[in-house]
Amino acid sequence: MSMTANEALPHGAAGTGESDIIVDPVSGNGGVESTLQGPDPHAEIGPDGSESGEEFAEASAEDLAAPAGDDSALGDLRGIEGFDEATSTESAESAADGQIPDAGSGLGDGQEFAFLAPLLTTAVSTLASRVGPAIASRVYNRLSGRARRILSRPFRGCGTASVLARVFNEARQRSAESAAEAVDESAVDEIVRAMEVIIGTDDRVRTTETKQSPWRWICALRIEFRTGAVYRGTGFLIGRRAVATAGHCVYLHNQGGWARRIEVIPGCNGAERPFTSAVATDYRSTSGWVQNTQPSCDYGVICLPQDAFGGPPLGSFGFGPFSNDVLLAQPAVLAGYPGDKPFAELWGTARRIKMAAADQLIYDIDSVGGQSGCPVYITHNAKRYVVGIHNYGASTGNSATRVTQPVAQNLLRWSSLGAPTSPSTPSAAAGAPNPAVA
Amino acid sequence: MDGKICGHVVDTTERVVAEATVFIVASPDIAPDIAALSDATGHFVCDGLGPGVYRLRALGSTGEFGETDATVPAAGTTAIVIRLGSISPS
Repeated sequence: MSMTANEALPHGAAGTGESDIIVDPVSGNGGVESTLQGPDPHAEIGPDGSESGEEFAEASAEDLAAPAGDDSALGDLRGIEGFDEATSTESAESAADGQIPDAGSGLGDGQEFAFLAPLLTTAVSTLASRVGPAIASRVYNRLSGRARRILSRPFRGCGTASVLARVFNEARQRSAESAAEAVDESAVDEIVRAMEVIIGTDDRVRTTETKQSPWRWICALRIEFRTGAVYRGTGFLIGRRAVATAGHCVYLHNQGGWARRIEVIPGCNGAERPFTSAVATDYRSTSGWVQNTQPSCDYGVICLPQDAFGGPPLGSFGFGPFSNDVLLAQPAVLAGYPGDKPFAELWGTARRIKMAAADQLIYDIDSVGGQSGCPVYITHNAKRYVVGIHNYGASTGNSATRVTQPVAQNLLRWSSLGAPTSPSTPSAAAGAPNPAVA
Repeated sequence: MDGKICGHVVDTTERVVAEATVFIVASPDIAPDIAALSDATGHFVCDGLGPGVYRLRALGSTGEFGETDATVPAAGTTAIVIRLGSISPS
């Protein structure tokens, strides 16, 4: 059993003078990526291709509101039942004339009002009461990212959602002293449910086409630690025997360190395991995570046993460091196995990244516990590239370790773990693409 | 972030529930987006947390769920019980 906490501080044994690493995706199953020819794998991406010196960059309101291009990663979600592309942009949530679209119940005219009116009446009376500010504060902490975004928009109008949002925001703005008051939790639950019905919960959609790329490259994880603690997470294939994930999916400091075993299920679709599963006991992470629990270094890899899934290769994601301009110019997809859905259904959504820091990406893409290790990917020149490894949730924005030069170097090195070595096999040198798998 | 929330998931009859998924729905700061699974004794652990008030939800295998709050001290552990079919403060 080989488990190492190695890799130079804080990322990998990053050398100096290496060219930028952009690794193209590998389709697997003997085919090529189902898109057009990609760029020269040795070509630089972005103004300088290296983010390590770049300033913090934040998407403007115009950036967030801009519609997605036809060639963006959003295309992977088009056609999935329930996906509404309009809700993936900020402009859709602000809506025409400031009206907040009612999520409602999908009922017909007249029936919607009859259904929603009691919810609205109860919620409004509670929020307008003396304890309204305290309840509004509690409710806000439990709302989905989508609901919070909608509430933060200026609006007018007299639809059910607009009225509720107006009353809610007014309650939040009232005296801060009363916001700390103890509240009846059942009243909080009632308001949360009313808002979820009227405004809507989240933008995620479930994909069941998990035998197709890129979905088959995403793996459900069942993680067991030496203390007996068990967790759900997500990973994604970066090589034939390499599944990238969050560092805390392979190493938890208070749970005996390295995971005892991880079951990896690529393309898991509920109870269906189209490619079977494999149990891994070999992992890698960074010293920054293992020794110092640095969030920016919170990533690692699961090394699969040989012939883990049998059959032809499944393929893998591409990855690489991209400039802020590229990252903020288009929607990114986040897809994985959230804990609020049965194990293990694949759910995803897409939104623009709102902030690109030196080693972190921050976004309002909805996620739930269980999605640690998800790929955050974009399309560039018609190919999919992972630009972040999702690892944290927060009310201010969920976040990923950004794929920077040192991160890409580690991923590249790990992607060839377990690969056969022979004179005819291309080496995983900096800038060299992953060999296509026949 | 060395704080932990540990505890048990039970049903409305106070029997322990195994294989319930437990995850954070509200946190004071960033929290690892990993979900815990309750073991055969209903026990679970959420690790790597900063101090503050968290809201946890447990989801049973047949869709029933429960929520409760937990206050994590700095570098400490707090114990809770999550009852499926109920939503309550700790």
